[in-house]
Amino acid sequence: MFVSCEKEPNIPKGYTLLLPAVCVGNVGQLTVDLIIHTLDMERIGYLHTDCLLPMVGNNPFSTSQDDASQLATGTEVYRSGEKNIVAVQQRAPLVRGKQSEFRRRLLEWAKQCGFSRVVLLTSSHAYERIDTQMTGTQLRYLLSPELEKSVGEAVGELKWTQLERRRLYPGVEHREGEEQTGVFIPGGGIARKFYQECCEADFPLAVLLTFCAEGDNIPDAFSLANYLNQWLQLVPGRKSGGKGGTPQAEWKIPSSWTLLFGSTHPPDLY
Amino acid sequence: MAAPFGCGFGDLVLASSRAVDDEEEEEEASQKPSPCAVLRWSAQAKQEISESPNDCIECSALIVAIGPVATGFIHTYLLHQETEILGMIGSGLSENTCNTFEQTSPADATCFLHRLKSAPSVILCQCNVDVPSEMMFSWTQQLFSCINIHNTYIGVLASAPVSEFRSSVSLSDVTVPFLRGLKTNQFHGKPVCPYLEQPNTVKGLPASVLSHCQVYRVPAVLYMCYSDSIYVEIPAIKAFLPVLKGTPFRDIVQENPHADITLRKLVELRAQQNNLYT
Repeated sequence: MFVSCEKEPNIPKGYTLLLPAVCVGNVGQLTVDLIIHTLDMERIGYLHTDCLLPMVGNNPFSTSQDDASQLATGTEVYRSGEKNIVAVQQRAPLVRGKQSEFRRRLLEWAKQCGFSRVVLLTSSHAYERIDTQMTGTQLRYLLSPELEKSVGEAVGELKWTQLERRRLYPGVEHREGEEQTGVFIPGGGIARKFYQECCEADFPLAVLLTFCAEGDNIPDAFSLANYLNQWLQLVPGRKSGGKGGTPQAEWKIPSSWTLLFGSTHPPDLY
Repeated sequence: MAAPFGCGFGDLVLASSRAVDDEEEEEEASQKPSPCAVLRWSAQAKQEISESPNDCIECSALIVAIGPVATGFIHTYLLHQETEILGMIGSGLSENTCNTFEQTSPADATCFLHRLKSAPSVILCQCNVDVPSEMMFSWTQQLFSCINIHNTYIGVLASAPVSEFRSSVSLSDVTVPFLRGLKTNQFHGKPVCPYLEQPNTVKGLPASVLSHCQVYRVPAVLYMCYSDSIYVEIPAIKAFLPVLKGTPFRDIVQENPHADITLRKLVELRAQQNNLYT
Protein backbone atom coordinates (compact mmCIF):
# COMPACT_ATOMS: atom_id res chain seq x y z
CA MET A 1 0.00 0.00 0.00
CA PHE A 2 2.80 2.48 0.90
CA VAL A 3 5.03 3.45 -2.03
CA SER A 4 8.05 5.53 -1.12
CA CYS A 5 9.20 8.38 -3.33
CA GLU A 6 12.64 8.48 -1.77
CA LYS A 7 15.66 6.57 -2.99
CA GLU A 8 15.95 4.92 0.40
CA PRO A 9 12.67 4.67 2.27
CA ASN A 10 13.21 6.10 5.71
CA ILE A 11 10.60 5.96 8.44
CA PRO A 12 12.57 5.51 11.68
CA LYS A 13 10.95 3.38 14.38
CA GLY A 14 9.21 5.17 17.22
CA TYR A 15 7.74 8.04 15.20
CA THR A 16 4.21 9.30 15.79
CA LEU A 17 1.74 8.87 12.92
CA LEU A 18 -0.92 11.53 12.38
CA LEU A 19 -3.90 10.32 10.45
CA PRO A 20 -7.08 12.09 9.36
CA ALA A 21 -10.42 10.35 9.06
CA VAL A 22 -12.59 11.55 6.19
CA CYS A 23 -15.25 12.88 8.52
CA VAL A 24 -18.05 15.42 8.82
CA GLY A 25 -16.84 18.83 7.66
CA ASN A 26 -13.49 17.27 6.66
CA VAL A 27 -12.03 18.60 9.92
CA GLY A 28 -9.39 15.86 10.23
CA GLN A 29 -8.07 16.56 6.74
CA LEU A 30 -8.03 20.33 7.25
CA THR A 31 -6.13 19.88 10.52
CA VAL A 32 -3.51 17.69 8.86
CA ASP A 33 -3.16 20.32 6.12
CA LEU A 34 -2.35 22.93 8.77
CA ILE A 35 0.24 20.70 10.44
CA ILE A 36 1.99 19.67 7.21
CA HIS A 37 2.14 23.22 5.92
CA THR A 38 3.19 24.85 9.20
CA LEU A 39 5.93 22.32 9.89
CA ASP A 40 6.94 22.34 6.21
CA MET A 41 6.91 18.55 6.21
CA GLU A 42 8.59 16.64 3.44
CA ARG A 43 6.64 14.31 1.18
CA ILE A 44 8.07 10.79 1.45
CA GLY A 45 5.57 8.68 -0.43
CA TYR A 46 2.04 7.71 -1.24
CA LEU A 47 -0.64 5.34 -0.09
CA HIS A 48 -1.58 3.70 -3.37
CA THR A 49 -4.45 1.27 -3.04
CA ASP A 50 -7.74 0.31 -4.63
CA CYS A 51 -9.52 1.33 -1.42
CA LEU A 52 -9.17 5.03 -2.23
CA LEU A 53 -10.86 7.04 -4.95
CA PRO A 54 -8.44 8.65 -7.39
CA MET A 55 -7.76 12.36 -7.34
CA VAL A 56 -4.93 14.60 -8.52
CA GLY A 57 -4.18 18.28 -8.33
CA ASN A 58 -1.26 20.66 -8.31
CA ASN A 59 0.79 21.42 -5.20
CA PRO A 60 -1.69 22.16 -2.38
CA PHE A 61 1.06 23.79 -0.32
CA SER A 62 2.54 25.95 -3.06
CA THR A 63 3.96 29.26 -1.95
CA SER A 64 5.02 30.63 -5.33
CA GLN A 65 4.58 30.08 -9.07
CA ASP A 66 7.77 27.96 -9.13
CA ASP A 67 6.53 25.13 -6.94
CA ALA A 68 2.89 25.29 -8.07
CA SER A 69 3.21 22.55 -10.66
CA GLN A 70 4.20 19.73 -8.32
CA LEU A 71 1.61 17.01 -8.65
CA ALA A 72 -0.27 15.88 -5.57
CA THR A 73 -2.14 12.59 -5.49
CA GLY A 74 -5.12 11.48 -3.40
CA THR A 75 -3.22 10.16 -0.40
CA GLU A 76 0.30 11.19 0.46
CA VAL A 77 2.68 10.58 3.35
CA TYR A 78 4.79 13.36 4.87
CA ARG A 79 7.60 13.35 7.44
CA SER A 80 9.14 15.80 9.86
CA GLY A 81 12.49 14.49 11.06
CA GLU A 82 12.76 17.33 13.56
CA LYS A 83 9.46 16.56 15.29
CA ASN A 84 9.63 12.77 14.80
CA ILE A 85 6.27 12.61 13.13
CA VAL A 86 4.83 11.15 9.96
CA ALA A 87 1.50 12.45 8.66
CA VAL A 88 -0.85 10.94 6.13
CA GLN A 89 -3.02 13.31 4.13
CA GLN A 90 -6.03 11.66 2.56
CA ARG A 91 -7.69 13.94 0.03
CA ALA A 92 -10.33 11.64 -1.41
CA PRO A 93 -12.97 9.43 0.17
CA LEU A 94 -12.75 5.66 0.39
CA VAL A 95 -14.30 3.40 -2.21
CA ARG A 96 -17.67 2.16 -0.98
CA GLY A 97 -17.38 -1.28 0.53
CA LYS A 98 -13.61 -1.09 0.99
CA GLN A 99 -13.54 0.59 4.39
CA SER A 100 -12.76 -2.50 6.43
CA GLU A 101 -10.06 -3.52 3.96
CA PHE A 102 -8.52 -0.05 4.22
CA ARG A 103 -8.52 -0.10 8.02
CA ARG A 104 -6.89 -3.52 7.99
CA ARG A 105 -4.12 -2.41 5.64
CA LEU A 106 -3.60 0.82 7.56
CA LEU A 107 -3.10 -1.01 10.83
CA GLU A 108 -0.79 -3.50 9.15
CA TRP A 109 1.32 -0.70 7.68
CA ALA A 110 1.40 1.20 10.99
CA LYS A 111 2.64 -1.94 12.76
CA GLN A 112 5.23 -2.59 10.07
CA CYS A 113 6.66 0.93 10.37
CA GLY A 114 6.92 0.59 14.15
CA PHE A 115 5.15 3.84 14.99
CA SER A 116 5.16 4.47 18.72
CA ARG A 117 1.59 5.77 18.49
CA VAL A 118 -1.05 6.75 15.98
CA VAL A 119 -3.15 9.85 16.43
CA LEU A 120 -6.41 9.80 14.47
CA LEU A 121 -7.98 13.21 13.90
CA THR A 122 -11.70 13.26 13.28
CA SER A 123 -15.01 14.96 14.04
CA SER A 124 -18.51 13.95 14.96
CA HIS A 125 -21.97 15.33 14.14
CA ALA A 126 -22.85 18.16 16.51
CA TYR A 127 -26.54 17.24 16.29
CA GLU A 128 -25.85 13.87 17.88
CA ARG A 129 -24.45 15.36 21.09
CA ILE A 130 -25.90 14.37 24.45
CA ASP A 131 -26.83 16.98 27.07
CA THR A 132 -23.47 17.03 28.81
CA GLN A 133 -21.70 17.68 25.52
CA MET A 134 -23.77 20.74 24.62
CA THR A 135 -21.77 23.22 26.69
CA GLY A 136 -18.09 23.56 27.47
CA THR A 137 -15.29 22.31 25.28
CA GLN A 138 -16.30 20.60 22.06
CA LEU A 139 -13.06 18.61 21.92
CA ARG A 140 -12.81 15.03 23.06
CA TYR A 141 -10.18 12.28 23.16
CA LEU A 142 -9.96 8.51 23.39
CA LEU A 143 -6.91 6.38 24.14
CA SER A 144 -6.59 2.70 23.40
CA PRO A 145 -5.61 0.70 26.52
CA GLU A 146 -2.13 0.16 25.08
CA LEU A 147 -1.49 3.90 24.71
CA GLU A 148 -3.19 4.66 28.03
CA LYS A 149 -0.36 2.75 29.74
CA SER A 150 2.36 4.95 28.30
CA VAL A 151 0.82 8.40 27.97
CA GLY A 152 -2.29 8.20 30.20
CA GLU A 153 -0.62 10.24 32.92
CA ALA A 154 0.70 12.95 30.61
CA VAL A 155 -2.68 13.31 28.92
CA GLY A 156 -4.36 13.32 32.32
CA GLU A 157 -2.36 16.40 33.26
CA LEU A 158 -3.86 18.27 30.32
CA LYS A 159 -7.29 17.94 31.97
CA TRP A 160 -8.91 16.92 28.72
CA THR A 161 -12.40 15.49 28.52
CA GLN A 162 -12.63 11.89 27.45
CA LEU A 163 -15.32 11.02 24.92
CA GLU A 164 -18.40 9.95 26.85
CA ARG A 165 -19.49 6.37 26.29
CA ARG A 166 -23.09 6.02 25.25
CA ARG A 167 -25.64 3.34 26.02
CA LEU A 168 -25.66 0.97 23.12
CA TYR A 169 -29.36 0.17 23.28
CA PRO A 170 -31.11 3.03 25.07
CA GLY A 171 -34.46 2.04 26.56
CA VAL A 172 -33.80 -1.67 26.17
CA GLU A 173 -32.96 -3.85 29.12
CA HIS A 174 -29.57 -5.44 28.73
CA ARG A 175 -28.76 -9.05 29.27
CA GLU A 176 -26.39 -10.15 31.93
CA GLY A 177 -22.74 -9.91 30.87
CA GLU A 178 -23.58 -7.90 27.77
CA GLU A 179 -21.71 -4.67 27.19
CA GLN A 180 -23.99 -1.74 27.92
CA THR A 181 -22.06 1.23 26.70
CA GLY A 182 -19.86 1.85 23.69
CA VAL A 183 -17.95 4.42 21.73
CA PHE A 184 -20.21 6.46 19.46
CA ILE A 185 -18.66 8.71 16.78
CA PRO A 186 -21.36 9.33 14.15
CA GLY A 187 -19.91 11.07 11.10
CA GLY A 188 -16.40 10.19 12.19
CA GLY A 189 -15.56 7.99 9.21
CA ILE A 190 -13.30 5.08 10.08
CA ALA A 191 -12.68 6.38 13.63
CA ARG A 192 -14.97 4.17 15.71
CA LYS A 193 -14.10 0.90 14.07
CA PHE A 194 -10.40 1.72 13.78
CA TYR A 195 -10.39 2.47 17.50
CA GLN A 196 -12.05 -0.84 18.29
CA GLU A 197 -9.63 -2.73 16.06
CA CYS A 198 -6.61 -1.02 17.61
CA CYS A 199 -7.92 -1.85 21.10
CA GLU A 200 -8.29 -5.50 20.10
CA ALA A 201 -4.82 -5.56 18.54
CA ASP A 202 -3.19 -3.85 21.57
CA PHE A 203 -2.05 -1.03 19.33
CA PRO A 204 -1.34 2.45 20.72
CA LEU A 205 -4.00 4.74 19.19
CA ALA A 206 -5.34 8.10 20.26
CA VAL A 207 -8.47 9.55 18.69
CA LEU A 208 -8.87 13.33 18.95
CA LEU A 209 -12.16 14.74 17.79
CA THR A 210 -14.37 17.78 17.81
CA PHE A 211 -18.14 18.05 17.51
CA CYS A 212 -19.09 20.09 14.49
CA ALA A 213 -21.69 20.71 11.81
CA GLU A 214 -20.93 21.03 8.12
CA GLY A 215 -20.31 24.54 6.87
CA ASP A 216 -17.23 26.66 7.29
CA ASN A 217 -15.13 24.17 9.24
CA ILE A 218 -11.90 26.16 9.29
CA PRO A 219 -12.40 27.25 12.93
CA ASP A 220 -12.97 23.60 13.88
CA ALA A 221 -9.71 22.63 12.17
CA PHE A 222 -7.84 25.32 14.10
CA SER A 223 -9.27 24.20 17.41
CA LEU A 224 -8.46 20.55 16.72
CA ALA A 225 -4.92 21.49 15.64
CA ASN A 226 -4.44 23.52 18.83
CA TYR A 227 -5.82 20.62 20.87
CA LEU A 228 -3.29 18.23 19.34
CA ASN A 229 -0.54 20.79 19.75
CA GLN A 230 -1.26 21.09 23.44
CA TRP A 231 -0.25 17.46 23.78
CA LEU A 232 2.47 16.97 21.17
CA GLN A 233 3.95 20.50 21.27
CA LEU A 234 4.64 20.62 17.54
CA VAL A 235 4.41 24.38 17.09
CA PRO A 236 5.18 26.98 19.78
CA GLY A 237 1.86 28.26 21.13
CA ARG A 238 0.88 31.36 23.04
CA LYS A 239 -1.70 31.46 25.81
CA SER A 240 -5.14 32.51 24.71
CA GLY A 241 -6.85 35.42 26.46
CA GLY A 242 -9.57 33.38 28.14
CA LYS A 243 -8.88 31.53 31.38
CA GLY A 244 -8.24 27.86 30.81
CA GLY A 245 -8.42 28.26 27.04
CA THR A 246 -6.33 26.14 24.68
CA PRO A 247 -3.04 27.85 23.77
CA GLN A 248 -3.17 29.12 20.18
CA ALA A 249 -0.33 28.34 17.81
CA GLU A 250 0.63 30.24 14.68
CA TRP A 251 -0.72 28.00 11.95
CA LYS A 252 -0.04 28.64 8.28
CA ILE A 253 -2.98 28.27 5.92
CA PRO A 254 -2.13 26.39 2.68
CA SER A 255 -2.91 27.86 -0.73
CA SER A 256 -5.36 25.05 -1.46
CA TRP A 257 -7.81 26.55 1.03
CA THR A 258 -8.73 29.36 -1.34
CA LEU A 259 -12.23 29.37 -2.88
CA LEU A 260 -13.40 26.78 -0.37
CA PHE A 261 -16.99 27.63 -1.24
CA GLY A 262 -16.64 27.72 -5.03
CA SER A 263 -15.92 30.38 -7.59
CA THR A 264 -16.82 34.03 -7.35
CA HIS A 265 -20.42 34.45 -8.46
CA PRO A 266 -21.09 36.15 -11.79
CA PRO A 267 -21.69 39.88 -11.30
CA ASP A 268 -24.30 39.78 -14.11
CA LEU A 269 -26.66 38.15 -11.62
CA TYR A 270 -27.46 41.54 -10.16
CA MET B 1 -29.08 6.57 4.44
CA ALA B 2 -32.29 4.57 4.26
CA ALA B 3 -35.41 5.63 6.09
CA PRO B 4 -36.09 2.99 8.75
CA PHE B 5 -39.74 2.25 7.96
CA GLY B 6 -40.02 2.47 4.21
CA CYS B 7 -40.01 5.79 2.50
CA GLY B 8 -43.45 7.28 2.26
CA PHE B 9 -44.75 10.79 2.18
CA GLY B 10 -43.73 12.76 5.23
CA ASP B 11 -40.83 10.50 6.13
CA LEU B 12 -37.69 12.32 7.01
CA VAL B 13 -34.91 11.26 4.67
CA LEU B 14 -31.54 12.53 5.74
CA ALA B 15 -29.18 13.63 3.03
CA SER B 16 -25.87 11.90 3.45
CA SER B 17 -22.93 14.06 4.31
CA ARG B 18 -20.55 15.15 1.58
CA ALA B 19 -17.76 13.20 3.18
CA VAL B 20 -19.24 10.48 5.27
CA ASP B 21 -20.57 7.14 4.25
CA ASP B 22 -22.93 5.33 6.50
CA GLU B 23 -21.09 2.61 8.36
CA GLU B 24 -23.92 0.10 8.24
CA GLU B 25 -24.26 0.32 4.47
CA GLU B 26 -20.60 -0.44 4.16
CA GLU B 27 -20.96 -3.66 6.11
CA GLU B 28 -23.40 -5.03 3.53
CA ALA B 29 -21.39 -3.85 0.55
CA SER B 30 -18.18 -5.40 1.81
CA GLN B 31 -19.71 -8.86 1.60
CA LYS B 32 -19.69 -8.78 -2.20
CA PRO B 33 -16.46 -9.42 -4.10
CA SER B 34 -15.33 -6.24 -5.79
CA PRO B 35 -15.53 -6.23 -9.59
CA CYS B 36 -12.39 -5.78 -11.67
CA ALA B 37 -11.67 -4.44 -15.13
CA VAL B 38 -10.70 -7.00 -17.75
CA LEU B 39 -8.14 -6.54 -20.53
CA ARG B 40 -8.43 -8.58 -23.73
CA TRP B 41 -5.65 -8.68 -26.28
CA SER B 42 -6.09 -9.43 -29.96
CA ALA B 43 -4.53 -12.66 -31.25
CA GLN B 44 -1.69 -10.68 -32.78
CA ALA B 45 -0.94 -8.83 -29.54
CA LYS B 46 -1.10 -12.04 -27.52
CA GLN B 47 1.50 -13.58 -29.74
CA GLU B 48 3.77 -10.55 -29.44
CA ILE B 49 3.50 -10.58 -25.67
CA SER B 50 4.35 -14.27 -25.47
CA GLU B 51 7.34 -13.79 -27.75
CA SER B 52 8.74 -10.74 -25.99
CA PRO B 53 11.43 -11.29 -23.35
CA ASN B 54 9.58 -9.39 -20.61
CA ASP B 55 6.00 -10.38 -21.51
CA CYS B 56 5.22 -6.84 -22.55
CA ILE B 57 4.28 -4.89 -25.65
CA GLU B 58 6.93 -2.33 -26.53
CA CYS B 59 5.68 1.23 -26.27
CA SER B 60 7.39 4.58 -26.76
CA ALA B 61 4.30 6.73 -26.29
CA LEU B 62 0.96 5.91 -24.73
CA ILE B 63 -1.94 8.27 -25.35
CA VAL B 64 -5.00 7.78 -23.18
CA ALA B 65 -8.18 9.61 -24.22
CA ILE B 66 -11.06 9.53 -21.75
CA GLY B 67 -14.59 10.70 -22.51
CA PRO B 68 -16.32 11.73 -25.74
CA VAL B 69 -14.46 15.01 -26.30
CA ALA B 70 -10.97 13.56 -25.90
CA THR B 71 -11.72 10.39 -27.86
CA GLY B 72 -13.28 12.53 -30.61
CA PHE B 73 -10.06 14.50 -30.79
CA ILE B 74 -7.86 11.41 -31.06
CA HIS B 75 -10.27 9.91 -33.59
CA THR B 76 -9.94 12.98 -35.80
CA TYR B 77 -6.32 13.95 -35.48
CA LEU B 78 -4.41 10.73 -34.80
CA LEU B 79 -6.54 7.74 -35.73
CA HIS B 80 -7.04 8.81 -39.35
CA GLN B 81 -3.71 7.11 -39.88
CA GLU B 82 -3.73 3.40 -40.50
CA THR B 83 -4.17 1.57 -37.20
CA GLU B 84 -4.82 -1.84 -35.78
CA ILE B 85 -6.76 -2.77 -32.67
CA LEU B 86 -4.49 -4.32 -30.06
CA GLY B 87 -7.02 -5.02 -27.38
CA MET B 88 -9.77 -3.65 -25.22
CA ILE B 89 -10.39 -2.99 -21.55
CA GLY B 90 -13.79 -4.01 -20.27
CA SER B 91 -15.25 -2.62 -17.08
CA GLY B 92 -18.40 -4.53 -16.30
CA LEU B 93 -17.31 -7.66 -18.16
CA SER B 94 -16.61 -10.93 -16.50
CA GLU B 95 -13.91 -13.28 -17.76
CA ASN B 96 -16.42 -15.34 -19.75
CA THR B 97 -18.42 -12.54 -21.38
CA CYS B 98 -18.38 -12.62 -25.17
CA ASN B 99 -17.38 -9.51 -26.95
CA THR B 100 -16.11 -8.41 -30.31
CA PHE B 101 -13.42 -6.16 -31.71
CA GLU B 102 -15.72 -5.18 -34.60
CA GLN B 103 -17.83 -2.55 -32.90
CA THR B 104 -15.70 0.38 -33.94
CA SER B 105 -18.01 3.36 -34.40
CA PRO B 106 -16.38 6.37 -32.68
CA ALA B 107 -19.53 7.00 -30.66
CA ASP B 108 -19.93 3.45 -29.33
CA ALA B 109 -19.36 2.74 -25.67
CA THR B 110 -16.09 0.91 -26.15
CA CYS B 111 -12.59 1.08 -24.80
CA PHE B 112 -10.06 -0.03 -27.40
CA LEU B 113 -6.29 0.04 -27.49
CA HIS B 114 -5.09 1.05 -30.96
CA ARG B 115 -1.64 1.00 -32.46
CA LEU B 116 -0.41 3.12 -35.34
CA LYS B 117 0.87 1.08 -38.28
CA SER B 118 3.30 3.83 -39.21
CA ALA B 119 4.71 3.97 -35.67
CA PRO B 120 3.99 0.62 -34.00
CA SER B 121 5.41 1.68 -30.67
CA VAL B 122 2.67 4.29 -30.25
CA ILE B 123 -0.37 2.96 -28.39
CA LEU B 124 -3.60 4.91 -28.15
CA CYS B 125 -6.32 4.07 -25.65
CA GLN B 126 -9.76 5.35 -26.59
CA CYS B 127 -11.97 5.12 -23.51
CA ASN B 128 -15.55 5.91 -24.42
CA VAL B 129 -17.18 4.20 -21.47
CA ASP B 130 -17.96 5.37 -17.97
CA VAL B 131 -15.74 3.29 -15.75
CA PRO B 132 -17.34 2.86 -12.30
CA SER B 133 -15.28 4.46 -9.55
CA GLU B 134 -14.61 1.19 -7.74
CA MET B 135 -13.07 -0.20 -10.93
CA MET B 136 -10.79 2.70 -11.81
CA PHE B 137 -7.84 1.32 -9.89
CA SER B 138 -8.03 -2.08 -11.55
CA TRP B 139 -8.68 -0.44 -14.96
CA THR B 140 -5.41 1.46 -14.59
CA GLN B 141 -3.57 -1.64 -13.40
CA GLN B 142 -4.84 -3.55 -16.43
CA LEU B 143 -3.79 -0.79 -18.81
CA PHE B 144 -0.23 -0.86 -17.53
CA SER B 145 -0.08 -4.61 -16.99
CA CYS B 146 1.45 -5.66 -20.31
CA ILE B 147 2.77 -2.43 -21.77
CA ASN B 148 6.46 -1.75 -21.33
CA ILE B 149 6.49 1.79 -19.99
CA HIS B 150 10.20 2.20 -19.44
CA ASN B 151 11.29 5.22 -21.46
CA THR B 152 7.69 5.94 -22.36
CA TYR B 153 5.93 9.27 -22.41
CA ILE B 154 2.29 9.17 -21.44
CA GLY B 155 -0.27 11.73 -22.51
CA VAL B 156 -3.76 11.74 -21.01
CA LEU B 157 -6.63 13.77 -22.44
CA ALA B 158 -9.95 14.27 -20.69
CA SER B 159 -12.70 16.83 -20.29
CA ALA B 160 -14.87 18.25 -17.53
CA PRO B 161 -17.71 20.77 -17.33
CA VAL B 162 -16.55 24.30 -16.67
CA SER B 163 -18.96 24.46 -13.72
CA GLU B 164 -16.46 22.24 -11.89
CA PHE B 165 -13.71 24.78 -12.41
CA ARG B 166 -13.05 27.08 -9.46
CA SER B 167 -11.64 30.47 -10.12
CA SER B 168 -11.41 33.84 -8.45
CA VAL B 169 -12.44 35.32 -11.80
CA SER B 170 -16.16 35.00 -12.48
CA LEU B 171 -16.78 32.15 -14.90
CA SER B 172 -18.86 34.42 -17.10
CA ASP B 173 -15.64 36.32 -17.83
CA VAL B 174 -13.68 33.22 -18.85
CA THR B 175 -13.58 32.13 -22.50
CA VAL B 176 -14.56 28.50 -22.79
CA PRO B 177 -13.51 25.92 -23.79
CA PHE B 178 -10.01 26.08 -22.35
CA LEU B 179 -7.20 23.70 -21.44
CA ARG B 180 -5.38 23.15 -18.17
CA GLY B 181 -2.44 20.82 -17.58
CA LEU B 182 -0.97 18.63 -14.87
CA LYS B 183 2.24 16.63 -15.09
CA THR B 184 4.06 14.07 -13.01
CA ASN B 185 7.38 14.97 -11.42
CA GLN B 186 9.25 12.83 -13.96
CA PHE B 187 7.86 14.80 -16.90
CA HIS B 188 10.51 17.45 -17.37
CA GLY B 189 8.87 19.49 -20.12
CA LYS B 190 6.20 22.09 -19.62
CA PRO B 191 2.60 21.48 -20.65
CA VAL B 192 1.48 23.49 -23.68
CA CYS B 193 -1.17 25.26 -21.60
CA PRO B 194 -1.36 26.82 -18.11
CA TYR B 195 -1.14 24.52 -15.09
CA LEU B 196 -4.39 23.66 -13.34
CA GLU B 197 -4.67 26.29 -10.63
CA GLN B 198 -5.31 25.70 -6.94
CA PRO B 199 -7.76 24.68 -5.56
CA ASN B 200 -8.89 22.72 -8.62
CA THR B 201 -8.52 18.99 -8.70
CA VAL B 202 -9.19 16.22 -11.19
CA LYS B 203 -11.15 13.15 -10.18
CA GLY B 204 -12.00 9.89 -11.85
CA LEU B 205 -10.17 7.85 -14.44
CA PRO B 206 -7.73 10.56 -15.63
CA ALA B 207 -6.70 11.06 -12.00
CA SER B 208 -6.26 7.33 -11.59
CA VAL B 209 -3.94 7.08 -14.62
CA LEU B 210 -1.89 10.11 -13.59
CA SER B 211 -1.62 8.93 -9.97
CA HIS B 212 -0.27 5.60 -11.18
CA CYS B 213 2.34 7.42 -13.28
CA GLN B 214 3.31 9.71 -10.41
CA VAL B 215 3.64 6.87 -7.92
CA TYR B 216 5.67 4.67 -10.28
CA ARG B 217 7.76 7.57 -11.65
CA VAL B 218 6.57 7.55 -15.24
CA PRO B 219 6.72 10.82 -17.20
CA ALA B 220 3.13 11.74 -17.95
CA VAL B 221 1.10 14.81 -18.75
CA LEU B 222 -2.66 15.31 -18.39
CA TYR B 223 -4.63 17.88 -20.36
CA MET B 224 -8.11 18.73 -19.15
CA CYS B 225 -10.52 20.53 -21.46
CA TYR B 226 -13.12 22.56 -19.60
CA SER B 227 -16.19 23.16 -21.74
CA ASP B 228 -19.64 24.58 -21.06
CA SER B 229 -21.73 22.30 -23.25
CA ILE B 230 -23.28 19.00 -22.26
CA TYR B 231 -23.03 17.91 -25.90
CA VAL B 232 -19.90 17.05 -27.83
CA GLU B 233 -19.11 20.15 -29.83
CA ILE B 234 -16.42 21.02 -32.36
CA PRO B 235 -14.90 23.94 -30.38
CA ALA B 236 -14.37 21.70 -27.35
CA ILE B 237 -12.65 19.04 -29.45
CA LYS B 238 -10.55 21.67 -31.20
CA ALA B 239 -9.49 23.10 -27.83
CA PHE B 240 -7.09 20.15 -27.63
CA LEU B 241 -5.27 21.24 -30.83
CA PRO B 242 -2.33 22.91 -29.02
CA VAL B 243 -1.37 19.58 -27.45
CA LEU B 244 -0.29 18.29 -30.86
CA LYS B 245 2.73 20.58 -30.53
CA GLY B 246 3.82 19.10 -27.20
CA THR B 247 5.42 15.86 -26.01
CA PRO B 248 4.45 13.07 -26.60
CA PHE B 249 2.03 14.06 -29.37
CA ARG B 250 4.25 16.07 -31.69
CA ASP B 251 6.30 13.09 -32.87
CA ILE B 252 3.32 11.06 -34.01
CA VAL B 253 1.12 13.58 -35.74
CA GLN B 254 0.39 13.37 -39.43
CA GLU B 255 -1.88 16.06 -40.66
CA ASN B 256 -5.42 14.99 -41.44
CA PRO B 257 -6.61 16.91 -44.52
CA HIS B 258 -10.18 15.80 -43.86
CA ALA B 259 -10.21 16.73 -40.19
CA ASP B 260 -13.14 19.13 -40.49
CA ILE B 261 -15.31 16.59 -42.29
CA THR B 262 -14.47 13.89 -39.73
CA LEU B 263 -15.29 16.27 -36.91
CA ARG B 264 -18.63 17.27 -38.41
CA LYS B 265 -19.61 13.63 -38.95
CA LEU B 266 -18.61 12.75 -35.42
CA VAL B 267 -20.61 15.56 -33.85
CA GLU B 268 -23.64 14.63 -35.99
CA LEU B 269 -23.31 11.02 -34.91
CA ARG B 270 -23.19 12.05 -31.28
CA ALA B 271 -26.19 14.34 -31.77
CA GLN B 272 -28.21 11.43 -33.18
CA GLN B 273 -27.51 9.48 -30.05
CA ASN B 274 -28.86 12.23 -27.89
CA ASN B 275 -32.35 10.91 -27.39
CA LEU B 276 -33.75 13.48 -25.00
CA TYR B 277 -36.76 14.24 -27.27
CA THR B 278 -37.14 11.09 -29.34
